Amino acid sequence: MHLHRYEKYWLIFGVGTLIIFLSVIGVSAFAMGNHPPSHTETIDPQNVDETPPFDNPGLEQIDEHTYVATIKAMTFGYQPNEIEIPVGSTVIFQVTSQDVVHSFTIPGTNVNMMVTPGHINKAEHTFTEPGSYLVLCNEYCGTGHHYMQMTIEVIE
Amino acid sequence: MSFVTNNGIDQRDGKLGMTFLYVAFAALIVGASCGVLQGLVRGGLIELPGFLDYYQILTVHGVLLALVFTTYFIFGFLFAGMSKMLGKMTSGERTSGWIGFTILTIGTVLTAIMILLNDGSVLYTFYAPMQASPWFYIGLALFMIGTWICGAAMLTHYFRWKKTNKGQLTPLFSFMTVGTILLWYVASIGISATVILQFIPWSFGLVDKINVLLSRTLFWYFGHPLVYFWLLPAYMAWYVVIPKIIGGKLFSDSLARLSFILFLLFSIPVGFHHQLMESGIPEFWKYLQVVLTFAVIVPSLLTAFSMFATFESAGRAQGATGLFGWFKKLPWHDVRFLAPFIGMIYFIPAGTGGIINASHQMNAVVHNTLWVVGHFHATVGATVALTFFGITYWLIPVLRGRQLTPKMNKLGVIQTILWSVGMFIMSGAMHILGLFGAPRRTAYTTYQDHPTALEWLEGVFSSQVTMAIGGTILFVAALLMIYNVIHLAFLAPKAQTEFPISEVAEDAGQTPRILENWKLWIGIAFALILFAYTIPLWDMIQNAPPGSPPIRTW
Amino acid sequence: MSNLEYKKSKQKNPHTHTTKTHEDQSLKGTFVSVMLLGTFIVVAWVGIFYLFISRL
Repeated sequence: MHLHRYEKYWLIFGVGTLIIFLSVIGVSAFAMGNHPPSHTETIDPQNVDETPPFDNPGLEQIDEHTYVATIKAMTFGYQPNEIEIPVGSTVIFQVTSQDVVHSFTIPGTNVNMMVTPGHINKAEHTFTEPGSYLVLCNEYCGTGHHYMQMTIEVIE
Repeated sequence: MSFVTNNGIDQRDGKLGMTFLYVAFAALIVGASCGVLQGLVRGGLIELPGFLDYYQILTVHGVLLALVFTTYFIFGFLFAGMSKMLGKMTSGERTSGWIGFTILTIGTVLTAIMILLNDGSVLYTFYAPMQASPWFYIGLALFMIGTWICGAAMLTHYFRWKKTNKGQLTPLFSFMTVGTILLWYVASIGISATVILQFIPWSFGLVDKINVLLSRTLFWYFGHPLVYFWLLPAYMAWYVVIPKIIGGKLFSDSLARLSFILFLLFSIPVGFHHQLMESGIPEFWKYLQVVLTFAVIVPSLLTAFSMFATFESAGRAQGATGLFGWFKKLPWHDVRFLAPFIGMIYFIPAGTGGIINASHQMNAVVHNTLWVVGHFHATVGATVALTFFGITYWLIPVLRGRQLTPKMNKLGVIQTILWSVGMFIMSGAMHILGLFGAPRRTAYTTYQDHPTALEWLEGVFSSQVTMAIGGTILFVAALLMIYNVIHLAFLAPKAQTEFPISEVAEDAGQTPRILENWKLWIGIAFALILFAYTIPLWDMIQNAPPGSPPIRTW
Repeated sequence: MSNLEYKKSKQKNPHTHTTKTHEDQSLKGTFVSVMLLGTFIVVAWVGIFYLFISRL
């Protein structure tokens, strides 16, 4: 199979670029821990209310600047539907669904994870700017999907 | 009558192809009508009447345009091309084509009825545990079975030709058709498994729970090659038809075949890149499929070079000089070239967006935002649709023994420009809104007037109102397309019209025979699939959480 | 096009060998075009990667 000289250059450039992209995201993921949310813990979706930690959803402080937010997603909202943290805090969100597939998404951040029934998903974010952060569901979950939201108040 | 041919296509074969095209364009106009309504609702410009639900028309839009328009158009185009390139079908093959068409259509109608009854507002991805009527899933299964029978008719046709023309290189069009059909077959294992083994028993109440993650994984095993099933026939037109229309020749037969083989190998073991934000799939397996996804970019890089080289060679042969002189020699006033060409240009941002989407953790920036909607409107809505429109402007005249008149060509150019501009505005706004986090598949909402969400209605270009404007222009373009289709099929003057098939450049070199060794390629395709999927799938079944009962949330 | 026309088309860029291959053709415009395309891909990808990093 014959390749024109320029086509060889183009393929070397193209494949080289793809390898560089893969290396950059690979190092960022595997060496620096910036993985996509891929938590593998499971839960009985019909008994979320009785299963710790989801029997007691809410915010828990685990050290000076770190919190764990345990959140239940359901049609069409989150429980709790508002949390408040001081600016500079790191929050680990652990979320599950008690019915259909939802998402837990904070626009303007990298927190954007699927919440599938039967699984617990986790994401972490440090809030360096004060303000009211919107959380929304970006996976269609039924007729009230567009009303599904909560807020995170980050205060000075 | 039965032995008459239209432009080298047996009339009976042409009728089969044309019937597929009628359904395709009926789906286009209904789907586009739903689309403009959604755009206007999302922009906050209208409210739907009480009997229509946003998510119901969204389901109609997705099913009709992404599944029905594309599939019917593709089968119409491929049946016509196969008959042209390999000679008329046997009556057995043709009958299979009609049986396939009938089952496909029964499936489509059944699913459509369930959606119209509001018993199937689950969008075209039908994620469990939302549960539609069992007949929705039966309709999908029939749809798949119909496509298999149609595909089998084409495969039989191809292998019959091969047998009677031993030792000869098969025509490129037929090679690409077989590649596309085989891709579809291997891909459809996933959706068939989830629909037949999971959804149908569950929706009839034979089992009470469903493994949600498994169903999503099987869907996306199918879902990514599905987009290549749309794209490959567009690539066929680029490789086989466009060089002829511009008065040039195919740059390289073997590279064209190689790119199709690469698509067959690498477009399937990559479904996890649609599930990157999902729990239950370990990071390693996601990254592995990200790497395989990047391999499927290579045949598109090859195609980009081939296209430009075809244009440049044709231009230079017509006397063009300088670095870009050939660009001016292209037939800009010919809609048969213009529409697919703009489609190609759209594939530059569309393909780039695809690389970004598949980049592992970077997917968090765009996942399930309007960016993704902008992305697939640029790919299937612009690249594929514009190429299909470009094909339509000569294929319907060929099949109906009519002519693309200069006046109709001009209307075609206008239609192409309208569609391109509308898509630029809509898809562009969607991309930017997505980067700000605006969600896809969501009715009009301000999230209780949250400032973040209000911004999505206030930007100049990055506004949901802009999206609605783009969508309206697209709807006008779709109406014009329907007029053009009716004109070409029933009103245009009778004439002989050529089915444009290009020759290979004399200097393109021999085509290696190994490219046609389908057993080898299917074997490697399955090996890659087993490599990418066996362990994570096993894990999903072995370590599955308790399943989910059915829920109806609409 | 006939072989003759083909030969004419490449007179600006004469080669010494007589067997025709793709090397005979001037594909400079093609090369520049695909490299522009490649540049677009790199710029867009780096832009979104930067956005990802800035949102960490």
